[in-house]
Amino acid sequence: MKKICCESEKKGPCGIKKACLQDVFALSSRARNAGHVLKIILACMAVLIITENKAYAYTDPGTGTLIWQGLLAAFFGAIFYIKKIINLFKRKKNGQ
Amino acid sequence: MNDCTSTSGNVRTVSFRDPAGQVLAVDDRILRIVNRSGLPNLNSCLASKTVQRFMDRGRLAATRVLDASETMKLLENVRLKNLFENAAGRIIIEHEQVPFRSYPYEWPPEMLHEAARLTLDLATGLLEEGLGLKDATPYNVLFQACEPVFIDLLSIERREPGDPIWLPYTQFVQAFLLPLLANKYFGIPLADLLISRRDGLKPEEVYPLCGLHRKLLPPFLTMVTIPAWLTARHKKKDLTIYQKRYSDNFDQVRFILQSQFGNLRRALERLAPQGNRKSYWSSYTLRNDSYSRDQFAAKRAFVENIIMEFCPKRVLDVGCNNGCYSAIAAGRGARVVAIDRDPDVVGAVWRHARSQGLDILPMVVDICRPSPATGWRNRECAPFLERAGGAFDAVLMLAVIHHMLISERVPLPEIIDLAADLTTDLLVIEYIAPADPMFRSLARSNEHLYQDLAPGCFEAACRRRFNIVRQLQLNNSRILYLMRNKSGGRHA
Repeated sequence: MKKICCESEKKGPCGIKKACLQDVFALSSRARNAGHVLKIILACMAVLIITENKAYAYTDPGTGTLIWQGLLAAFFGAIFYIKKIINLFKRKKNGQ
Repeated sequence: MNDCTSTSGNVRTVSFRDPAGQVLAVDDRILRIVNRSGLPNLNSCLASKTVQRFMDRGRLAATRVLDASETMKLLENVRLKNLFENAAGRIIIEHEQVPFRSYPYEWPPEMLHEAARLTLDLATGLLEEGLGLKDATPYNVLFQACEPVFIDLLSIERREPGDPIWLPYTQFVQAFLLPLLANKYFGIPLADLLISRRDGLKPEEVYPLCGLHRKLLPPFLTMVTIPAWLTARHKKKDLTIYQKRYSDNFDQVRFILQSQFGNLRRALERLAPQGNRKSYWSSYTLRNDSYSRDQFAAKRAFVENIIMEFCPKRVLDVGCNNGCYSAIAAGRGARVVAIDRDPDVVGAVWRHARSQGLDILPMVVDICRPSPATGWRNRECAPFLERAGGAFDAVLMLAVIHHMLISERVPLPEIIDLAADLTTDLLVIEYIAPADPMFRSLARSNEHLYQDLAPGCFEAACRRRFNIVRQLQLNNSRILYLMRNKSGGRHA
């Protein structure tokens, strides 16, 4: 990726500013990284699905949804504190 | 809330699941006995501003507590007194009656979606006052015309302020979201899903229907794949997930619950039925080549004149299709129940009637295979014909009997008997001759079975139960009749 950036910096082509090109390449690099992350997530999900065990709906009282709700509750609980911290920073900044 | 369990005289018990009370139908009134365990929650509920607001808007069944003298008077009925004593009743409350009961398996997806929205709105509103819903089932909702009404007041309870888990979450997902999802993405009719499943679908039942890409993408990923995977991974003997975990930070708990309701609302909106769904029957009335434009206008005028002349109060439109005759009756002040077997056309009728504010209750009911009795001992939800019998003073059966005669092979006298059981007075029915192109297309090579179905035979079959008042020949093969039930007589 670096190599490509360097080459484009040297060329500085067609009236497009070098800084501008760098931004474009940085963005595309990030997008590619994000693409890799997405691929990894999808691969994990595929493994998750392939290794899915048989669940017996008739005898199960909705355990999976209950656990998922618990996980969501933990996630939202964490968000609550993160929001609080962000608000604290914002208040300090406004105070300054 | 459920339907009938037993009947004695004019007292009928309606529910049995709730340990806090019991619902009774006494004459035309809906009463609820509340026992000691139900009183604290009922008092909190009646004092709630949210409850009051929902009642004022007609979204919650209007309720009043009967005073001592009214209660004593009611308890003079021996059957009622026994029930009151057996239930260890403390007080009796009275709910406003919903005119015609419909059940989730008789709703198009639009109505189930609206019932889910009402349930979430109520749960979210109650949260501000420290209240919540004990359960989240579509059986807590009935429809008054097109609007959902939450009927189970004892479902409202005071919450533990430190409890961040809304227990009915799973029930809400299974009873509302997953049936809507299976209907939207796989085209499975709600009746097929809900008539035999009181609490809807489980993620593990939807999981095998999904292809790989669906399993990985929302809304399937969070509603189906992850819960199904978690269920499969969970050790059955591990009961720790059912243990209550409380937080001391009530603001955090409220934030968690609000976020979860928001999450459910987004999922629900994603599953909103598409408004442009089309089936074979969607534009049937409009593209129907059985009548010329003038004949169609004459048919409309025939029905409209009858509605204006006789002013029926309760109308049943059988095979309503786009609901144009239901709209005529509702426009003249009738309370209409419009039934059709096709959920797409019933959904369209619901959207139209709701936007126009018409008093029409659309239901997905096939008159040849009406909803059966369901639930515990077949006594929780009454069959459609039991609810509909004698409940209407006018029945419309327009362009429908050939489907019953040919597709379902129901003999004509049976159809007329059914009509006489449904209406106490008027029947507007359309005769279709075997020479009619639609009749021939349905009968295919079996036309010879219906050669005796001349107008004279049709009228003779009708005269057993009805007096023919007037008729209008629309064209060579179609005649409209107005008839009056011989044994019915007008309901007050």
